[in-house]
Amino acid sequence: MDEKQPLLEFRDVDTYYGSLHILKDVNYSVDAGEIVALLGSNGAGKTTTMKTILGLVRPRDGRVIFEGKEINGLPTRQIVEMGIAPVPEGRRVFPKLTVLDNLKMGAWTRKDRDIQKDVDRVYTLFPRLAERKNQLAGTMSGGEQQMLAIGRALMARPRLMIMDEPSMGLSPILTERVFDTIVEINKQGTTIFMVEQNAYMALEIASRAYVLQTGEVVLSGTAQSLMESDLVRRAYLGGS
Amino acid sequence: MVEILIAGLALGSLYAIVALGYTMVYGIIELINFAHGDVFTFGVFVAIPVLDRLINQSAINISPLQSLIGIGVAMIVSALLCGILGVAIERLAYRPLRNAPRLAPLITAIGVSLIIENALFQWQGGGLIGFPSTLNVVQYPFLGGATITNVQILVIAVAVLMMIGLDLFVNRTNVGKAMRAVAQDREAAAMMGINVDRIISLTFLIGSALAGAGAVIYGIEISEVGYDTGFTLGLFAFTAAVVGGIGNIRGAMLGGILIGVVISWVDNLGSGASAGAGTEWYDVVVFAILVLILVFRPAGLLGTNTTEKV
Repeated sequence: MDEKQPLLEFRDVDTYYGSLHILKDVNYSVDAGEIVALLGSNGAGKTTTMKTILGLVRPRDGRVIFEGKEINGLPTRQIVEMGIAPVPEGRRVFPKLTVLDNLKMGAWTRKDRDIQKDVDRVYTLFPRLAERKNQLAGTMSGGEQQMLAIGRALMARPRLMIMDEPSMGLSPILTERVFDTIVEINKQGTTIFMVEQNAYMALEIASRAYVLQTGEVVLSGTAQSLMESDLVRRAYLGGS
Repeated sequence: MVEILIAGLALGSLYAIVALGYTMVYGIIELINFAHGDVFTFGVFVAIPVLDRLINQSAINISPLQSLIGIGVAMIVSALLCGILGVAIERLAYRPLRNAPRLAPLITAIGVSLIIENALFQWQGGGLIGFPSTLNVVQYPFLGGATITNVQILVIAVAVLMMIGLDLFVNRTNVGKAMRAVAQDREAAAMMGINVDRIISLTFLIGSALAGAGAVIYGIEISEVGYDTGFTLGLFAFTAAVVGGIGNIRGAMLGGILIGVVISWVDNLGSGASAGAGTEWYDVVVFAILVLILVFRPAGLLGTNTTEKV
């Protein structure tokens, strides 16, 4: 038995879409303070993992545990209230709300209404959002929307932030900026579990990672060890 | 000319109030709530006993204070009961079908409409019922020799206040913003921890309450009501919502007023022996506008063609 209880844990989780078996007996564990990456190709079950955490997909078997409490079966709203904030695939900002209003929606679960400090924190992390605070989110570039999606998640002061493909659709320079910010956010105390196709970038900032193939965890370990593993080098890093 | 415009504004603000209910519900769950017009009729009927009790019908001169109190209380009662009815309809008839194919809730909406309409028929019979007289009509001179009545002033003022109130609520308050967030991306809104079911209930509550309050104003202005009043009015209001851009709150206001002014203009076509012949043409003109909008500007006057959900 571990002395320390993980922040998030998957225990033998199986999920299905109809008769399609997506996640097969999957186990993850994310400790408080970590950045953990989930790697894998399209259709491996990465997004399904995120949806399972959020209660958008219900596991048929197994348990999802957050801070010692079983969360599978709870409605999304309650899971979010417990301290998990998503940066969803495709950003999913509210296109016809302003940047500031999007941030306010991120703070919806907060009991205190004193959110100005958090708005300022997001503006410090992403000065571009401060410049555009009264612009409609849908009129911004993909990179700006990604910043907004991250900022919006931060507004909830989550203990765990789950990110689905934060680099998708971003230029390499922008990806680098976003990843620097993720490290910064983690340093400020938020645990991060992220799905990422860009394995190299992800392993650079993560402490540990899991590799998912057709619904099964085929490899896991420290980022360093994965970076050196043949499987990862061949499949995701394009190395020899 | 000015008189046509005033009458059009008074009628149009009523359409606008009812159109808001269609457009808000469509905006949030993409359902045309056919029962909305019948909720409106229910609102007119529940206001009648309240007004009968509060305003002395046999008085030759109703005191303005008594009028205002009576109308105010009737509007609150009617808004409250319609709001409850609207919430109940969503809870019982639409929510169980939230994830069903879109045709199912649509047919259900027609069914709910028929149920309410027939219940009202059983309750009030098939004939037209006179609405209680609530105030002494006074005419005031207005621009260019035209006149405006205190009823018209009341109707326009109340409607404008409700529209401003709704606009402020939706655009300025956090709950209003959450409502728009749910309309734009329901799943993402749930990911923010927003209670989507409660927001949808609230949308029905507000839309139906507005119809209830508007129903009292309608009774005062039109003074006769039947069990199927809301059906026709609902069709016009729905047209107004489409003309303005369905799902767009300001569009519904614009569309309502536009339709009202057009009807008022049609009303005044013909003169001498054929004066008033315009009434026969209401449906033709209103639905011709609907067709033209659908052909040439399907997103409506204030709607945008860009998809919200990427």
